[in-house]
Amino acid sequence: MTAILEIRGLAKSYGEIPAVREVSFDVRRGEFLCIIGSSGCGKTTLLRMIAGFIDPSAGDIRLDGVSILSQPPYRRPVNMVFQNYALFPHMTVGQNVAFGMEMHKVDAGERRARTREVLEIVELSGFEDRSVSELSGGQQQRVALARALVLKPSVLLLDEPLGALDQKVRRRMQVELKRIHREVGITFIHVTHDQEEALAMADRIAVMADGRIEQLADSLEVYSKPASPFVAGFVGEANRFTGTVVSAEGSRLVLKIGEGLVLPLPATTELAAGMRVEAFVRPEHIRIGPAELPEMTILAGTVRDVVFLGESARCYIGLEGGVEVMATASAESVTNGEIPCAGARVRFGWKTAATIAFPAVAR
Amino acid sequence: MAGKRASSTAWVLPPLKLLPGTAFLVLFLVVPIALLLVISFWRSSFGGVKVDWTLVNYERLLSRPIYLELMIKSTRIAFTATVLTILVAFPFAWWIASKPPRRRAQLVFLVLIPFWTSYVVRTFAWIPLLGNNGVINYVLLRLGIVSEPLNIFLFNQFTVHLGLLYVYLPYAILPILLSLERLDRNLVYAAADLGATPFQQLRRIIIPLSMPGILGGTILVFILSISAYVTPALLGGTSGIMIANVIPDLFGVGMNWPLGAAVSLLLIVVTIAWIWLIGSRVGLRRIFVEG
Repeated sequence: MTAILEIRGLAKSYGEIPAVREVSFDVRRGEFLCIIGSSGCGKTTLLRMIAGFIDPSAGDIRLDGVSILSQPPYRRPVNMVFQNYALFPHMTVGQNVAFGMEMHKVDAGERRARTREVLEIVELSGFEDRSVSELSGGQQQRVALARALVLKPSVLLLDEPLGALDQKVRRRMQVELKRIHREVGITFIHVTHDQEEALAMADRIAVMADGRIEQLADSLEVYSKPASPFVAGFVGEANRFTGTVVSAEGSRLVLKIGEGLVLPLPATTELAAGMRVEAFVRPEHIRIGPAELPEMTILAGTVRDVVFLGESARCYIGLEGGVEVMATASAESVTNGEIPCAGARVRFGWKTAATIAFPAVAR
Repeated sequence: MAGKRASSTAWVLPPLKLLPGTAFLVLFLVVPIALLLVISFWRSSFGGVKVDWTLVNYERLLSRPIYLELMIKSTRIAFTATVLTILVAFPFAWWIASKPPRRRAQLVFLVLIPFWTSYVVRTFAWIPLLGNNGVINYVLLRLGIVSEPLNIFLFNQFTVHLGLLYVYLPYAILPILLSLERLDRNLVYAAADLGATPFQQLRRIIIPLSMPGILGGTILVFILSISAYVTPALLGGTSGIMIANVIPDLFGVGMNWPLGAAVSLLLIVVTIAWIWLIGSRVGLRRIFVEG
């Protein structure tokens, strides 16, 4: 796949404070790329530099091989969906959607036709003459999307577009956005702090922290093979263990996480005895119960809390030495009524290969 | 939002809550205007007034061209001065609004500083600046641009416009600034993102959305300008005189209270008509309550 957008050494600092530090990556034509990170990681600054609202301190942005840095925002063939929609309050839905076409001198007949067409895509047919203030949050969101999509941008930028919606509407809009993305075939760059949302929608995910991109990969890879401890902790939920590597039973390495508490380390990792290590285990990889297989890490502890989540349940199991482990009890065990009660002694374990270990970095 | 305001204690307390304000307005607005209205139907007599019911004052007002002409001229001066003031105030307010909050507060402070001095003094300050022996003429003479002092700067309608613009500028800047501060900058970004050039952003987004402030400023400056007394008196000379300048003469030296009352009412009616005209375009509620 070819790159539609090339970001090269892009940086922005405010005085001495860097917001984005020399970021370089390609955005593939037609993909749905999510940029995630906690607030202040530079993701919105990055997006606004692509839109042209912020001038970068260094680096280049190339669209179809041509630098767009010298173009003001109103000449760039990219469009943005704003966090709080930024709909024009003094215009109707139809006028909002047609605004961009008017600016681009599209004639009135075509404007009407394209407005109708795009409102159909976002499922707001017949809303042309409504005032934007009488719409619900989800509907305003769709208008904002339609307003940007109608210009058929090369790249659509979405700045936390679902952030202001409630949980149910947000879930629905995630599915909608994916459908619209497939339908229009435009490249989407979606910024969000919600890793679940990114996993639900993105083809690829870029994880940002402290102005840098920690990992850019397929959603599945980001989840299952995180490139750094930050990514492992940020994307999805994970139990985090820290300790020192010691050798046991000849060549086998184990991680000592407390007095008498050791975790076997997967054979593939390039770790040596004496290293400080951060290890991560996803709660859904943990099985509670007696099953014992050769390649498993087995621990025992006391269930402290059980949180029932409907389709599954989450158990918080305390180990000797104060370490707490979060494990997901599967849908099956929920239906069978096999969720352990608080206070119960349980044995639990996971396939050692599911342990993700990193040499600890000084932070 | 309006619905929320109407609830709570709105219907329990209004008579009591409104009492001080209503009393004030009745005492100092309704009563004086009613008095003016009554006096305007009386007859002026030697050294005083005679209680009588007559239209003679209004006949004089309409038959002698001076009052109507002066009213029209005052309206025209107030109108152009207001337009000029808004044209200067808007970019100024936009500039202030674009600054970070701390700097903005400092600039608003600077806008308000002139209020520390009497506006009579401030108006007087134009005379040594614009007069025949004033600073401007001095500079022009010294630079050899003119050989004799120009007397075009002072005591004419130009000077009145300048004086009004200068004195009432803050009254236009502040409401416009308030409107601009409320304007979500993302709307301007969104317009730019959709292809609007800076001029189109201004025309299609910024100006329409700051209309309440612009019209609020317009109304304030217009009311102040149409009834201006000090500025035309000090800077207007004979050609720059306005309607408010003749009213004190009628009440004072002229000793003709009934005619003075009639002219005053004419000014009040014209002013209200203008506010109503501007207000009907947007609704006064939007200007003064929400704007």
